[in-house]
Amino acid sequence: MKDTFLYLLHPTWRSVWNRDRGRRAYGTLRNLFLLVLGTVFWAGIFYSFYRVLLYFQGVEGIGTVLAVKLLTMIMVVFFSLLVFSNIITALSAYYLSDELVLLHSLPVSLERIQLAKFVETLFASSWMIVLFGMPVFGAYGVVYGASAAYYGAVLLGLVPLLVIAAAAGIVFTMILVRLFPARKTKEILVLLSIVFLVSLYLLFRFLQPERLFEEAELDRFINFLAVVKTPSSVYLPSHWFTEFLVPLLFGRSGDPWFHFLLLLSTAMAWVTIGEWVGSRIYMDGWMKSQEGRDTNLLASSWVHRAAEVLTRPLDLQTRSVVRKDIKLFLRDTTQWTQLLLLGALVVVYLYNFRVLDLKKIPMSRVYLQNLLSFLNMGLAGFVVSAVAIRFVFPAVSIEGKSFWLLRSAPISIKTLLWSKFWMYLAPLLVLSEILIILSNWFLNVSGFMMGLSVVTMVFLTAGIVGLGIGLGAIYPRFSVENVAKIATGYGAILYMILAMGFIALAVFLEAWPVNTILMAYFVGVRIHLLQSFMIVGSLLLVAMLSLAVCILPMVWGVRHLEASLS
Amino acid sequence: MIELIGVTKRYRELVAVNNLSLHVSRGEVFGFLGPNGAGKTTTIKMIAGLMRPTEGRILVGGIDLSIDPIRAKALMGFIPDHPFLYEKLTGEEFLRFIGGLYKIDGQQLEGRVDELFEVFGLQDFRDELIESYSHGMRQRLVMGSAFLHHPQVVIVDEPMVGLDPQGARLVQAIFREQCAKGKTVFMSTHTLGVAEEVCDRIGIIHKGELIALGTKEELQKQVKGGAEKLESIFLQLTGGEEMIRVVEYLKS
Repeated sequence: MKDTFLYLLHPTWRSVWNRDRGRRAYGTLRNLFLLVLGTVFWAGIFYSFYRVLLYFQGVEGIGTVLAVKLLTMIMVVFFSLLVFSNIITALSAYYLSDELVLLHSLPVSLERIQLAKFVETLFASSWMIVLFGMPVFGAYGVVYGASAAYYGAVLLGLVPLLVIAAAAGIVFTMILVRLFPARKTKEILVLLSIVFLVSLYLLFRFLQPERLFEEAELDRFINFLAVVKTPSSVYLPSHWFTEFLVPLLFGRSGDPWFHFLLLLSTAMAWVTIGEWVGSRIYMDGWMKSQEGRDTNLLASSWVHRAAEVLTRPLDLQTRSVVRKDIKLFLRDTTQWTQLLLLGALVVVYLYNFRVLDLKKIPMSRVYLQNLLSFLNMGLAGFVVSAVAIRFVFPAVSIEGKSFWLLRSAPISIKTLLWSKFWMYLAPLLVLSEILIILSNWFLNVSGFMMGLSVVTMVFLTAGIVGLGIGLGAIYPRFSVENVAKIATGYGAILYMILAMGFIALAVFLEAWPVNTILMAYFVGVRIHLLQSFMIVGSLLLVAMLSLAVCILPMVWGVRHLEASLS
Repeated sequence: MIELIGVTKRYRELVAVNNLSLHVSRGEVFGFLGPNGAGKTTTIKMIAGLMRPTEGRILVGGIDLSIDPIRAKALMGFIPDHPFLYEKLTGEEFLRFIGGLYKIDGQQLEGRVDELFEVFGLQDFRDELIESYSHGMRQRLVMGSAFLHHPQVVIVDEPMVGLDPQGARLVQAIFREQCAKGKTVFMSTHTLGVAEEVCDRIGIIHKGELIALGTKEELQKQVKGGAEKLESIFLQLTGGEEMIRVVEYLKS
């Protein structure tokens, strides 16, 4: 074992084993949470495909054709995702991981390191895609009553398919790094993947998939699917995989074993090509990545100048902290590209209200408009808190290993945290008000609801930001290198639960006063003096709750951070 | 034991190391000094096989690194300035992993691991995850891992960073002891006192070029006025005038 490449993977699996050492309760809780979430998602995929395939089965004449076309399309997407995922993972595993300095300084052959990295890349980039691909294959098997041979074939065929995707992705990465510095390649790939995701998300939403629930639309879709040319090629491994399964699945004639052998021989060829390419260009690329000094993609000076103008009114210390945070954010491609995702989220959110057809719901239109507007406050609050967990909660942790610099400077923790509070409050307030004002405008709500929503969102946003900064300071993770990981820790989960609880409570407190006022407005019911007091009291309670949720965690955060550092 | 023949390293236009030739003998502790950015770490990385020279050859134990890097690396123990450690492994797991890579097994590994934890004062922490180690403890663990396979040559980049006085004294003693056993130590350091005390010979690199080489006494003869302390020799050779400018500026 010690002479094989597998030994080099020993620290990886051992690290996974040791991950929750000393925090068993937390580890169990997190694993349970992930298991439940994963199972729900898995079951959701299975059920969706099961229903679609059952429907296809019922379509006379072309039912099987449709199912095969769908499988072919899925496999093209599946294979593309695998290759792309392998490219991203290979960049880290082969070029950017800190472990490489240790490995390359040891008397270990390049072939062993390459093989270990190949296995690491293959597993890291494939397991999730495979896991969530399984319910699709399962649904096909169940609907078409496949035999055990089909399930065996899925597993058998997947092995060479995954190997081809991994080897092709790795070879492509090695060539990329030979041409460009590794870090620059990573930035470009991150940007491309985010743009790809955003486009996919917007495209899917603008296709209005909800229309498929209408019979006429579904028929039109089926006809379209039947005539559309499948975006596949006989030279693609995904096609061979489909051709391997189809005869076993539908009992049709074909050459399953010929296609399996194509997969197998191509996999072996790719591994050989990968080994050959690696032995020639990998070491040069890695050594070059040690020397690389790259600039970032978003280096436009006008962005920095705009940030300077906007922060001018702040006092010197706050201004310095805010400007530093803005610069770091804009210079980190993994950070600023998320603004693209955020933009897409806002567009889709508003689009949902734009295409909402209230006529189809058998309720009073005016009542419905205001009811939706009321619920919209909670919904917008959830969106803001989802954004906050990614940006606001990690605000303290991202100081990371440079936190000593701020601690040794004559700036108090209180000033530091409140600087961060104002820095994140401003953009989130703009986001939340855009969401609420435009969606209310599309809903054509009354002036009262518009006013109440706008004011409520100010309080909710302040609460969400204060809670985020405060809890982020109570549960800081300074040693986490990957910012995305900060939002997955215990503190982050607690933050999400508390933020949701806060939004739900605030909306609940406003429910009765809003209902009473709307009834008075539309039905003409009089509001008694006692009711007026109670309405004002409820609204004041929401304001006080928001201020408490905003200020108390900030105070506790300051205390906790001071105590932990003293 | 270590031989650099006309070694040059270029990063595009920048020449980090220029035509460096050097011979370090068996049983010698060699100190490699130089100001920041002089080319020390680049040289060390080339000797450790982490970088390839643009020109020239490097031999360790007579083995050319560019021809048989694996055999050359098997002779060496490398301690970088910013070592990587697997945070989620315990100290013992880490040493055992390194032992496996150097093909040390069974009783031999057991004894060696116990010995190193004892020597480096980490016995009480061997089952703790490395993420809980202090900077100095990490440094000691890395040193332990570098000595695990009884290397013929030890390459060290800034060995004293983060070590407490006991740790620093321990490292000095270990280097001398290694030297007495016929092993070779090649170390870069800014701690001139340590270099003065431990090193048999010293090389000073400045702007990529080896500007002085020899014992402390030999170096003394190379500077004006025959300065006593290594610090004075170093400053005279590597830009004392820059220091004087800084001092003048601070005074103004």
